[in-house]
Amino acid sequence: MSGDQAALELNDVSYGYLEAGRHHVVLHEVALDVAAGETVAIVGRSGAGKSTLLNLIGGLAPPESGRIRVGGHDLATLGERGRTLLRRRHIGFVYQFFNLIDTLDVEDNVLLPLELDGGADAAGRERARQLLAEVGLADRARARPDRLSGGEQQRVAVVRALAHRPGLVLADEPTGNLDAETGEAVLALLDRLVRRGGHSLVLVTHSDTVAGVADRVLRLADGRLAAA
Amino acid sequence: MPPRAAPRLPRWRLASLRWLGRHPWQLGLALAGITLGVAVMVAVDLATGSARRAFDLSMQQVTGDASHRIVGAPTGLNEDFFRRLRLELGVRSSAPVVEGFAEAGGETLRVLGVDPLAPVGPAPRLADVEGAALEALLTEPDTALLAGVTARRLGLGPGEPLPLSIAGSSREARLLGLIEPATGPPAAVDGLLVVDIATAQEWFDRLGRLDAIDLELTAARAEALRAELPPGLVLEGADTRRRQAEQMTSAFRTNLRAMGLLALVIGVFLIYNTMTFSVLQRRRLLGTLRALGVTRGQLVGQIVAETLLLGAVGTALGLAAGTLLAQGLVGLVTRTINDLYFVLTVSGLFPSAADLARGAAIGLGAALLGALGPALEAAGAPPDSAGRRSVIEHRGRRLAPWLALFGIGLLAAAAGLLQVPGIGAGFAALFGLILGAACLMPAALLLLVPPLARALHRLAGPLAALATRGVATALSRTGPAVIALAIALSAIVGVEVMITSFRTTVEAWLGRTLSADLYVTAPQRVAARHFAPLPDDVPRRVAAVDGVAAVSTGWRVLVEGPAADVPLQVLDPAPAGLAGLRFKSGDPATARQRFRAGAAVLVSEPWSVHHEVGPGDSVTLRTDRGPREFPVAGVYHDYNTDRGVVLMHRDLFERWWDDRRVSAVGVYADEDARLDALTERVRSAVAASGPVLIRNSAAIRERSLEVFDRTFAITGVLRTLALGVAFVGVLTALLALQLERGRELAILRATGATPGQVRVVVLVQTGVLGLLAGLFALPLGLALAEVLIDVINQRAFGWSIVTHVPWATPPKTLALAVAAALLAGLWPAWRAGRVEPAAALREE
Repeated sequence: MSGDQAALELNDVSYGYLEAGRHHVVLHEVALDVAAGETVAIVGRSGAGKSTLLNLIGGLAPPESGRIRVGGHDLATLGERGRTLLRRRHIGFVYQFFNLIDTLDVEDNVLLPLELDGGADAAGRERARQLLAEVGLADRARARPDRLSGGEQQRVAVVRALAHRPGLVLADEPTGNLDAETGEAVLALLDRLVRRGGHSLVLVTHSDTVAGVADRVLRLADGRLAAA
Repeated sequence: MPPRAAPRLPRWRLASLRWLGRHPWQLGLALAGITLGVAVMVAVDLATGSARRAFDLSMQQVTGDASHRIVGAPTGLNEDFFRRLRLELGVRSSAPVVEGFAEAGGETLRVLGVDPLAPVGPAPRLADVEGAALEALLTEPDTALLAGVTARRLGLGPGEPLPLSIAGSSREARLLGLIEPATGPPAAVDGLLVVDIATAQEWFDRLGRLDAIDLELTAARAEALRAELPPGLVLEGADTRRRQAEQMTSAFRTNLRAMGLLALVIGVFLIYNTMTFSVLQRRRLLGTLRALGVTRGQLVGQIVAETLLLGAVGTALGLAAGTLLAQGLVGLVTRTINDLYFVLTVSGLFPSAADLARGAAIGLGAALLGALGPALEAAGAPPDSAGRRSVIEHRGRRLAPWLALFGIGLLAAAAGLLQVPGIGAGFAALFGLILGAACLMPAALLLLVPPLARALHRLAGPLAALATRGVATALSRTGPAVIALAIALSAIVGVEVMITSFRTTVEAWLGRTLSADLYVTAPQRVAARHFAPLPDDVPRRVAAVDGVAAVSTGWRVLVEGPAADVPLQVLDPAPAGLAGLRFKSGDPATARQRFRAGAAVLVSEPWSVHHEVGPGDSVTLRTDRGPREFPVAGVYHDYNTDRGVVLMHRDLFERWWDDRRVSAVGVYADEDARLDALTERVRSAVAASGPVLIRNSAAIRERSLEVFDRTFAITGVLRTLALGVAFVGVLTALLALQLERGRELAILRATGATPGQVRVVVLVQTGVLGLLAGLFALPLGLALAEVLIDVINQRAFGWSIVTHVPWATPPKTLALAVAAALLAGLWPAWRAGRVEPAAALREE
């Protein structure tokens, strides 16, 4: 991805669902540009549609209308496989509930996205170890994720999201399941690694404190996105 | 950190595979589902197939290289014809045969009288007997060769005496040697006793007569010979007997296949059930993998590969278990064939690659079918772990009405199929009915649970209501469990009502037709369809006994018809003897009158169904004076044999056949005669004629019902297996449900419920689940019974059966349903009580 290209562009993206014959609007003509290396926070109350917006950006669900471009790739022109490959190469996810894979150890969790893209070679393994060492988990590389504390699990999740050097990182309430102190440490870690690696970050949160790390903060309310 | 070898499988594959390893219960239940499903199907196929192959092998050993066989009139062939055949007609490659049955050591032996020097037939194959030369049979009287496998079972060896019982008389043969088949397994000759033809003629009172002549002929020579045969003799191909045996047992095999298929449907459903759970429970893992960039195709491929692996292991176990089960079933199958059709000894299994391959294909296919739908669904879904469960349930509830509509469509199609003739359409309708009803059940659950929950709330409080509502709120888990249990129970209800109705009908028929007070027959334990004649003077002697008002006589014989042999029942009825006949078609009075006058024959219902013959038609039979058409006056209900019979008055029979033999005499006592005294007087009167068996009608009825019950013993075994399969299904569903509800149960515990109360919640839920399954099973089971009675049995066997629903069936079914569900709920309830609230709450 070239440096002058926007990491993410959303043009008039709308999304809703039908329930009991009624159409509920979740997102209404949302527009957003995220530059390469920029960190954007989206704040809003629970149920405002923040996670839905991340799912649309990640190509996990299609919008009703509007256009989404990730690293210059228009999601609407990509098939299911194309969207998966885009995710595999250009996007990293960090979830509130970590979503680590319990059946793989810590190092294998980190190597997973590298392996999917054919990069789990010696260099890839070295990068995984470096990243784990950087977040203070070098000695837990062989541990099962469910044996780790919440903070440790989220640190592994951050490392996994960055291991394959994605252009765009999507973080959904990354501190929402952690105590304040641990959450702060994880957030600082995420911010540091993202900025150092030149990744773009879209962070959704209900917390103004968490949003404070961002270059720009937007508020999602009544399906519309506006500057906070 | 020390370096380590890279895993051989990609990590995303390992992640999914290890999930299975970390959930041994689910893995075990999925394996159990596949294993049980495959085992039942394979066992039925192997058992019936082994009986058929045993018959084929014994035929090969007995007929040897013979290409044709001449069979005679009911009384056999005159020995003179054999001499004429060899000397005048120049057929040197021929061998005379006399056959019969004998009892030894509790086993029925097939006695084959042969010419040891004949160039065809079994003799050349028996040249290498252990212990003595075959020719020794010629020189030493009452000597025999016994199948090695049988001799070893009976603990006999060459030179030892073999006590025999033949038609009630005791004889002793001396074993010259043991027969081992030149080709094929030792079991191919199981139960075979070979003697010289003169010995056989003496043993079976057939002096001067032969049963058949085996020949080795070219097709052209056979055609020429056929033209030269005297009336009454028939030249048939060597495979004719095999074909006839196939035809005879086809209805029985169809019945077994129906039971096997029913078990398979339940098995497939169980496999589907377990695979669905296995995929759905991994939805969070699968969603995460999708988010990380695993493609939908990769994920589906992975689940398919895992399913194939699981399916292969389950199928292999199923094939092994099925083979073991078949060892038990083959005994039941053989006993039924011996009771109903012909004498057959099957001491082992003859597994066929085709049977095993079919079982393997079904096991793998069902597992794939079960996993593919959920795999596609899971692969396409976003990794929204918090809302997924509710999304699935919401979708399930939305789908339920549509599924019900589809079910109604299936039921309508099944009703349409019932109108299409043929057994295949009958089976299709049966399965349409089952699937249609299954599709209706989720909607019915949603309708029934709310009022039931309200009722239980009033009766037992909020915990009971919570448990009951759980049945509807977790429809994606409880629905398949209820369906699996309901289908299994409905199969049990259907088969039970069918058997009870059949038994009641047969009992009533026996009461009507066994109108004589006593029956005199030749003694023999060989049930089958083999009737030994009574000494000639027995009918006359019995009729003369003081206290006998009237006698009837009967004789059963096979005569040649246009396509196959026709079982002919020859009857000389007592004056009131035809009153018990109930007619299905034809005017009863006219039919009885024309029968008595020897102007027409009657045909039994199965005969009429199989040959599409009714009043006004005629039956062509080869008589001793050539082919002759006999008009049919009526069709009567008869449950003696599913092949059917043609009933002919003795006067008419004697006009066309030179056969005066009688196999049974019915004795009608004077009104004031005491039956036990009369029995003694009849016994004394016939004592001089030889051994006979005298039984009253109650004893015969009892014996007939015993045979009936034995015939359906195998059905009972399969029924139990079907319930076992369903039980595993319910257990799987409940375990899955409790795993899913860990958080809900933890909240209950956290808010003050004791472990005991949590267990009660789980057990109430399983009890409700069982009750609803029982309620659904009853109407479906009764509908299945109607289809089995009026369509499957009618088309396969040709019998009309009056439906009879035992009063105990509904309460018993409900009790069984609740008991099975509660039993399956015990372990999940125990687990639920042990859930640690803190851990369970933290996991989410």
